[in-house]
Parts: sequence; C-alpha cells; structure tokens
Amino acid sequence: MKLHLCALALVALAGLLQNTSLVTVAGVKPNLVLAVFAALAFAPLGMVWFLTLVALGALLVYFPGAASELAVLAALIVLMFALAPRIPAKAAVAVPLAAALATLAFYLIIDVSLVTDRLDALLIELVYNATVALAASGLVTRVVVHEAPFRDPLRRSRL
Amino acid sequence: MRTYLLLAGTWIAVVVLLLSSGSALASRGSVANDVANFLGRPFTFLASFVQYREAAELVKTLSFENEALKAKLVALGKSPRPQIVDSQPQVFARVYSQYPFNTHGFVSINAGADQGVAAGDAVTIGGYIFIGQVARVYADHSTVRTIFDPSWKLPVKVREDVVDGLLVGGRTPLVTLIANEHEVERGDAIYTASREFLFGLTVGTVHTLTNDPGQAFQEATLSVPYKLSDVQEVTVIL
Repeated sequence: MKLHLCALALVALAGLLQNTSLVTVAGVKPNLVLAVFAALAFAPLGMVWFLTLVALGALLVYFPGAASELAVLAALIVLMFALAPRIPAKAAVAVPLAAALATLAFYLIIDVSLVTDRLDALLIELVYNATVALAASGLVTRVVVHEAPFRDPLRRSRL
Repeated sequence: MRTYLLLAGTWIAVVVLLLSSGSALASRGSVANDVANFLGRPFTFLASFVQYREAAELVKTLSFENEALKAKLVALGKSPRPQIVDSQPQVFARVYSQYPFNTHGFVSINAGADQGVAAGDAVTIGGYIFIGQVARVYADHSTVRTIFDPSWKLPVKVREDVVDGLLVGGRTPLVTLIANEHEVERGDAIYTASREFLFGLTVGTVHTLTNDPGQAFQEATLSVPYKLSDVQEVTVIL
C-alpha cells in the first residue's frame, strides 16, 4: 500500500511540475516523468498499476500539440518496465542508466536535431534525468524495504 | 483491499482527466503553477530572506514595467503613426504552463478565441516587449510559440532600423545574417521587422557579437530583459 501511494505521489508531483519552470536549470528542463518512471520500472509494481500510473502521468503532462511526443514517451516507459526484470545490475546503476538511455532514445525519435545541434542541452538533461531517477529510486527502495523487508525486490505484485 | 480502492480511485482520476474539456486540462496548469510556487518557496527563502522576498518580487515587476516603458518610448519615436500600440486592441492573459520537453519553446495562456485571440497575434510583455506569436487557438486558451523555440526564425532590425538580421530561436536566441559592413555593438536594440506584427516591437538587445572575417555575416546572441520562467502575465495584441 505504501509503495503504491509513494508511486502515485511521485507520478502526480512529476506530472504537475513537468510543465512549470520550477526545476529548469541553465535553460534545460528535466524530464521528471521519465525519471520517475525509470525508478518505478524497477520497483515491485504490477503491470496494471504501472499502466495506470503511465496513463495518469501522460494526462497530467498533456500539452496541446505534444500528443506524439507523449505517445513516444509512454512507449519508452512501458519498454523500460518490460525490460527491467531482465537487467542483472543493481538498481543504483540500472535506474540512472535506464533514465539516460531512455532520454537519448526519446530525442532520437522525436527530434534528432537536439542530439546533433544542441548536444550541450542534451547532456545536461541526461545528467539531470539520471540524478532525479536515482533520487526517486532511493525513495522507492526505502518504502519497499520498510513495507516488506524480506520480499524479493524483483518480484512484482499481482496487480 | 485498500490497494484495489486506491487503484480504482486513480482510474477515476484518469477517466475524469480524459473526459475533461481542453480548458480543464489547460487549467490544471494553473494548479501546477500554484504547486510549483509553493514548492519553490523554501528555495526562495534560502536564497533571499523572507523580508527581502517581497522586495525582490517588486523589483522584478518594476523591472518589467521599466523595460516596457523604455521600449514604448522608442517605438513612439519610430512609429509613423503616434500612439499606434495604445490604439490596438489588447488582451491580458496569464501564462498557464510551459511545453513539457526541451524540443519546443511553447507556453499556454488562458486567452483564446472567446477573448478575440487569433493565430498569428503578437504576444508581448506590457504591450511592447515581444516574446512570441500565438500558434494555436482554442476556445478559452491558446499556445504561444516564443522566441526560445528552436524552429522559429523571425526577421528583425538592429539599431534604429538600419541593420537587417534574422532571429533564430533557441535556448539562447541568435541574430544571424547581419551584414559585415554594419558596426553592431553590445547593447544595440533589436526590433521585430516582420509584416505579421506591429513594426518596432522590442525583442531584446545584442549581448555578444561574433564577427569572423572569413564569414559573410556577423552573428549576435540576444539578451532579453526577462526570464521566461518568471513571466506570469502577457499582453496579446489583437
């Protein structure tokens, strides 16, 4: 229960803040939603819950004209969820790496000019997303350990 | 059991958001702004003590007004018809939210077709500092493409309408295609020169100049008298 509440709170906060300028650094906005979901992909959340959170996050981030970008983002997040159990690395390594790779894949799909012409902005965002993902993963891990200290962290719940 | 209830509640929220009108989805941006402002308060306190926060806000507001007035004075001097901007119908709007990704420089505002806004209208601060153009119009909200959008190019004039240039949007907007024979200096004002907008709206000033003798044109970075993240209210010139 605490894990689900924690995940819901993280997604709601990331979704609300994504469209504000609160967390902009050096003119670069992090992808809070992608970072939070990179952490949640490695948490013992079931598929139903995860997809529910993806739907909620996408609707909170919605901006007119950004439907295609949101669809790509959602697809990448679901892909992270599907691949997470197969990654043998520890969460402390896998989560920021997943966030960085997903960020790179996102821009390669929707706007390759950010990779070719604005590499400095991309690098700042890569580091930013990886850091936020690691922080979110730390919080989720504490909640998971507190709630079920002897549960296998890779075993997903039925929901 | 509680987990199922929480899941059901979340799905109800999803369905409500999905079935909401576009204005409701845009309006959640104002909630997000309030959340962001609330969460930003501790950082503001750490940066400048509580007793100076109000003063900092006041300085910011006065700075915008000062820049708008300066731009107005210059525009009055240049305009072939006096008081032209004051006679234009205008709409004041609040900035709802910003584009969620770094690929575009869009913001959404709470004025749309119902308020007389049309695609292509100039969006300014105080009526004279140009920040962008209305891109899409809905019933009660619109999206605005700002000069920070990387895919936007806009003809501009530099320094008393003598020098032509092309503003290229982005995280740091650039003014390109400035002919080498013109001596452009740091601090020179940059104005809109597109037929789509009122002539002479201030865009910003020259910050740094790149003059490569091997190139046919000079290039300048733009300095603007505001931070887009601080802009809460805009004026749409109809």
